[in-house]
Amino acid sequence: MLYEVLKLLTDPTTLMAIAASAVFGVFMGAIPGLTATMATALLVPVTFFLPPIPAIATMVTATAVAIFAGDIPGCLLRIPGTPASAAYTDETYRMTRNGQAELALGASLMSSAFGGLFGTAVLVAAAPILAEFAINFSSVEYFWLVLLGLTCAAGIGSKDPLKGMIALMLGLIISMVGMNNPAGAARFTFGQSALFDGVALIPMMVGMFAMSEILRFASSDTSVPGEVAKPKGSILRGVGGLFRRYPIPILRGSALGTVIGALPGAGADIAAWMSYGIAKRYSKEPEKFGTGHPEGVLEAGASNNSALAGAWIPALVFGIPGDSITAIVIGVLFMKNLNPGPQLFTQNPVAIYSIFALFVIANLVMIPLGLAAIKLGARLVQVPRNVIMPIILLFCIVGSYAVNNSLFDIGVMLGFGVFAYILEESGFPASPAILGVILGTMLENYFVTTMISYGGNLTAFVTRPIAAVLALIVVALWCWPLVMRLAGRRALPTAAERQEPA
Amino acid sequence: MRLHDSVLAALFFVLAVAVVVTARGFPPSPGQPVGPGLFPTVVGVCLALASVGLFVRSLRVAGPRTWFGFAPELRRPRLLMGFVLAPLAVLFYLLASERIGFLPCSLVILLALFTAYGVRPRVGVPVAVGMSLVIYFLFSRLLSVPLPQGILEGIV
Repeated sequence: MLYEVLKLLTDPTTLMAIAASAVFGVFMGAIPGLTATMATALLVPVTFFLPPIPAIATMVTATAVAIFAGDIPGCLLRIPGTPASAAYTDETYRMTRNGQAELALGASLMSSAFGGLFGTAVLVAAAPILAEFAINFSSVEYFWLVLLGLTCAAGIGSKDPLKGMIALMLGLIISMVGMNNPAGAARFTFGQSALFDGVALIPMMVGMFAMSEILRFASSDTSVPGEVAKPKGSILRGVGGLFRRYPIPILRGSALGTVIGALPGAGADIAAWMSYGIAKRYSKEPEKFGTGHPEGVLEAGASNNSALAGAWIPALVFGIPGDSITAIVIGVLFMKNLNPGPQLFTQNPVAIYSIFALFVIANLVMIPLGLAAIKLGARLVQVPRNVIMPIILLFCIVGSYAVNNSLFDIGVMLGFGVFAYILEESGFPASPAILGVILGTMLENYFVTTMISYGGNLTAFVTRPIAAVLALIVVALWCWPLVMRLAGRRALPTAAERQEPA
Repeated sequence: MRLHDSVLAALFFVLAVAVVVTARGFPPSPGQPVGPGLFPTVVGVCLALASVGLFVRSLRVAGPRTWFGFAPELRRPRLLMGFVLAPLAVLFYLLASERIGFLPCSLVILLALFTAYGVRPRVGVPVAVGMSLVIYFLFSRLLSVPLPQGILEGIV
């Protein structure tokens, strides 16, 4: 099998896909306003025409590199390149102000690579074990798993759980459009034959993650300051010292990032915010945070890259995406006949191990490419966005059209772009909506399958032991805010203190 | 563009009611314990409850309310035009691409947006021509997506 994996990976198409998507990832990450999720969505039409492994290679590489490259404009301009860098943008910019731009970027790069490799190691170790465990799962367990995923998406994925829940419900309603339901009834199609198959997923995501960013760009003043610090000298000098000085924060960031990534709905950006907060809380010198101190950068930099790999664990084993990037990836996996689920691990181990290897390659390729990107940094972050954004718009149009060669899909892209823009401006998160769309069909199918196989007996949902445990967790999660609120009312003075670490 | 929480909550409530009412009309599936109407009904009820929650919460917040707001930058006519032009460009492509083809459409869109976003013509015109050709050949030739040829049929 090793031979087959190697053969797949050294295939010229795969190598070219990795190289091209790595460069693409640098651009998408380093130019503010273009995100890793957007990179994935725009890659989908291209992956159509690639064999499975190169197609996955483009997404793994582009996202890993983009999440790191997002640190570059944060450090040089104080504008995060992707939302995942926002948590420590002030810190790295302060380091640049203190004449330590090289150290800040070196620390970001190496902690990113380390975090990515750590997350990959967990993915390699945990996914096959989970898959073996999950092979006996029936529709009951899957029903609860999906419900658990949706709960996480609404609760963790957003600052405001109520708005997260509304976004989730909207996503679930979108998932009902069409005839993809157990009864095969046409629901909410408005008589449009183009909607019989449901709302096309890829145009919808291109709209929500790319078109909405274009609107956001167009509605804000985006003149980039003319003066940008230029990193010179050795980037990696002193980074080794930092790693020796702060091993615990780096490991803690990597571990937390992997877990947050694996939880549906929360991805790299939330992982980075949480890790930065934890780094400050447990640091021996928290007063230095915010003055150009690398400790938090190391921890959060490792965290956001490990989250990327962590998100693939539930995606590959259960078909439940861990973040919005894997939500897109799952669509591609289905298109390539690599339907995620525990069976994939037994039926197509070559593909699984190739994906694992791709993660290792992507995080190693990131280091030399990242060094080059840092050298180019000043010029890269100044690429005029007023030229880039119209070109992206054109890609959105053509990319949505390419999926089914249908103009209707371009309309879908536009509609969801405007919809996502208005929602996000009003404080509604997009990721619960996306997870709702992806998981809605699964949720209903598992529910109906269970009901049919147990003759409509509702107790079937809790009679199997694993299902009962999952059900308990879901119920506990739903009750948690209520309990917290009751407890908070009794002890009002401490409530303010408790809010602080978040 | 920003809508006040109460406005959005009211809209979502209407949507929720519409979903539930429509779901009532779905025929039950024979021989199955649950029909296609159950899932929409449950989700619709949840959305309705959450909307009511949001509505109540939004009215409790003190202070002045903006029911419908724009980012302050959009008061500047130039930015407003650029903002409106982006969705209009997509609409233009939807209406015109079949008739005049991809390349002219893409040229018009890029030039219009470049002008609106303040790109100098010295940069904008060559980039618009170059990128239109690159995208056309990438998708139409390399990825064999049948982009409409329109008036240039037979020339390219």
